[in-house]
Parts: sequence; structure tokens; C-alpha cells
Amino acid sequence: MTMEERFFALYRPEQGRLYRTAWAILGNEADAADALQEATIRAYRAFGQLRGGDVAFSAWMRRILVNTCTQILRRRMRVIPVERPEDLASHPVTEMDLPLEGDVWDAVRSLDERYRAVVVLRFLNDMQLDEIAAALDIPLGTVKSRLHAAMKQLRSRLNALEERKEGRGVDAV
Amino acid sequence: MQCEQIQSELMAYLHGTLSPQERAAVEAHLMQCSACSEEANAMKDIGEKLSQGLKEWVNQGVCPPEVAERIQLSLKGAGRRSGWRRAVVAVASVAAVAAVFLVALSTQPQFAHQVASVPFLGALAAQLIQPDIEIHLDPDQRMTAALFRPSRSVKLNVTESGGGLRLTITSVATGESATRIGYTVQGEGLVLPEDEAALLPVVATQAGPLTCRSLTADQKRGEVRFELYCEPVPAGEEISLTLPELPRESGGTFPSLTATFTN
Repeated sequence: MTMEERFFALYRPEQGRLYRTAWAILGNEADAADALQEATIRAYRAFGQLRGGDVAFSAWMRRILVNTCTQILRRRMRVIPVERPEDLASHPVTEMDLPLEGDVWDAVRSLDERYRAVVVLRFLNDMQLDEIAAALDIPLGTVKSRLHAAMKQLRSRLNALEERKEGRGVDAV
Repeated sequence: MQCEQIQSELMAYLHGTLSPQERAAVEAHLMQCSACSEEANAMKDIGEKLSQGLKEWVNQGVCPPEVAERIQLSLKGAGRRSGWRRAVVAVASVAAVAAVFLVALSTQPQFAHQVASVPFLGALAAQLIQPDIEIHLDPDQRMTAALFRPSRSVKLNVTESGGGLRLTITSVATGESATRIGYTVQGEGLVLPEDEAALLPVVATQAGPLTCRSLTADQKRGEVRFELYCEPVPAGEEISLTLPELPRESGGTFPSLTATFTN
């Protein structure tokens, strides 16, 4: 098996998960595709340095992807809003805003980017708060306040979605 | 501890980043305050829902076939450019590629309004207030940087000053496909040009002007650091870099500056 064949044998089963991980961090599919391509090229070039055998590939590849995505985010997030993020008014949730088949991802993707990024890095990638602060180049206090604000917004959105689903269930009966 | 303090430390508490003493203080408060305790439980529940929901969503992911194909092609070195989402922009023409990052430097709070008046930035700019601005317009540039492998790299410190502006060439590196020139610009009241392409310098050797491929910029500690990728230049050749006339916040422009250095 050539190195390329071995790389793809390990990489292909992960590709769908990697794609969605990048999408979750970056918020759109076009950037996710670019980030995944960039990360894959980096990983392919560094494949010879992978330690721990084939079982280590998944976590290693994912780490390269998350690093690539956070590099992109760091650049993007230097566009700073007028208000401090924690002072940003949450988007009012209306019936029209709610996705019909709303789930956790629908609620998360509707967040402001600064909020979405910390939520995804924390809850999808299980990064510690100080790791998120370093990855996004923002103070630890900002990570905490963004996460708290994001979770408050998500609580109301997810509760509203659940109520709506229950309401639909009743209608269906 | 007061409820307000608890609220501000709740995330650190729930995510295990408090010291044992801080943790004990939060727990003591939660034992006696039902409002904070409810808030903590609600946040814990929502965290579990988020973790589970996001992981399920990711595990169901499928990479679109066209993206998978593009990635495989890029590794084979074939179709690397043609597969890119915005490949058209990456062809070697100054007007077409232009700058892919824009940076403006200002120390004045009214900067946000000035940027807002730049049509190119549109609604996004209306949200800007701090001078540290970097806007990424073309993901292709990231690939230029990611794929760049210099075979030689030289650190430089060539400075030209004039009219309140200072240009310093800090590095030049050459690889098979490009030469990367690092330079910094400092000037009080330097603002974003209305036309993004107006950030691009003119670079030339004795043989003639070089084709610029992309420009990145980042503001650090009162200066703007640029990295310009242009066509490869042989070692030992003299390169001149001429900054365009960049606008001043107070009106008018800084003078154009030229620095000459050897690759």
C-alpha cells in the first residue's frame, strides 16, 4: 500500500465528520470545504510524522483541522463589533426565526459568530476554556462571558423549539 | 460570595477551571441560593444537550462528493487551482487578485464611521470600532500561504521614512512558486483606502514589475504587518517595493515610499 493509499484509507471514514466539524466552527459550508482542504494537505504532508499508529490518526487529523479552522477564525474575529460581545442584544426569537425541524445545530448556527465559535469549541471539541482563549486569541474572561451569554440564548431557543415541537405533536394528534 | 460574582464565575465553575478554594466558595453559595443553583443546573443541562446534539450532528456528516474529489485532486497536485471555489480570482493579475486582507490602522474612535463610509466594506464595517481590523475576502490566499515552502529566507531591516510614514522591509523568502516579502508600515492616522486594491504596493526588479498574487495584513502593536506574495525572484536580485499613497485620517495622503533590498 502506498503512503497515499494508506492516508486515504484512514482519512476517508473521517471525512464526513471532519467536514461537519469545520462547518460547525466556521459557520458555513464554503469555508468548511476550504478549511478541510487546507487541513488535509497539511496532514498529508505531515503524515510521516504521525506517531501512535493508525489508531492515532482520527484525533491527529481532527486536531490539525481544528487548528486550521481557529486560525481562520482568529483572522475573521478581528472584526470587532461596536458593543462588547457580551453586551450584544440577543436576537429576539420569533416563531418565524425557528427552523421547522430545529435541533441543537439549528440553534447553534443561528448564534452570532463570536458566540457560536466558543460553543462549538467547548461542546463539540471538548476544549478547555483556556485552550479556547489561546486558540481564538481572546482573554479567558471573554471566553467565559461569551459562553455564558451564548448558553442563555441557546436555552431560550432550545426551550422554544421544544415547546413548538410539543405543540406540533398535539396538533398532529 | 454575591449572586453577581457567582454569575460571572458560573462558566468557570461548570467547566472546571476554578481553584479548589474558588470552587468551594461557589458551592457554598449554591447550597444556600436557590436562584443561582437553578441557573447552574439549567446551564449544566444545556451544556449536556449541546454536547450530545452537536456530536450527533457531526457523526451523521457526509462530505459532499465534489469537495471530496477536489481534496483528492489537490493532493495529487492536479487541478489544485481549477478546483478552488474562487480560483478565478487567483489568476496572476494585480487587478484580479488584489488584496485579500484589508487592514486599517487608526487610533481614533471615529474610525468606525470612516470605515462605514467605505462602500466596499458595507454593513460589516458599520460594526467596527476598534482599529485592529483584518478582513478576509478570499480563502485562496490562505492556500497560497499554506502551500508556500520557501527554499531560502532572508531577514531584513530596510527602513524608509517620509511624511510621518515609515516602511520597513522585514523579510524576503523565495520558494518554487512565489516570493514572499514581509514589510511593516507605521504612521499615525493611517486609514483604510477606499479601494482595496489601493493597498497593493508596486514591486519590481531591474527586469520589470513583478506580478502580485496576494497580500495579507495584520495589525500588531501600532504597526501594520504585510506579507506580499508575488512571482518568484531569483536569489541575489535587487527588488524595489513602492507603497501606494495611503490615506490619512485627517485628510490627504501619506507620501509614497520606496524601499530597495536584495533577495
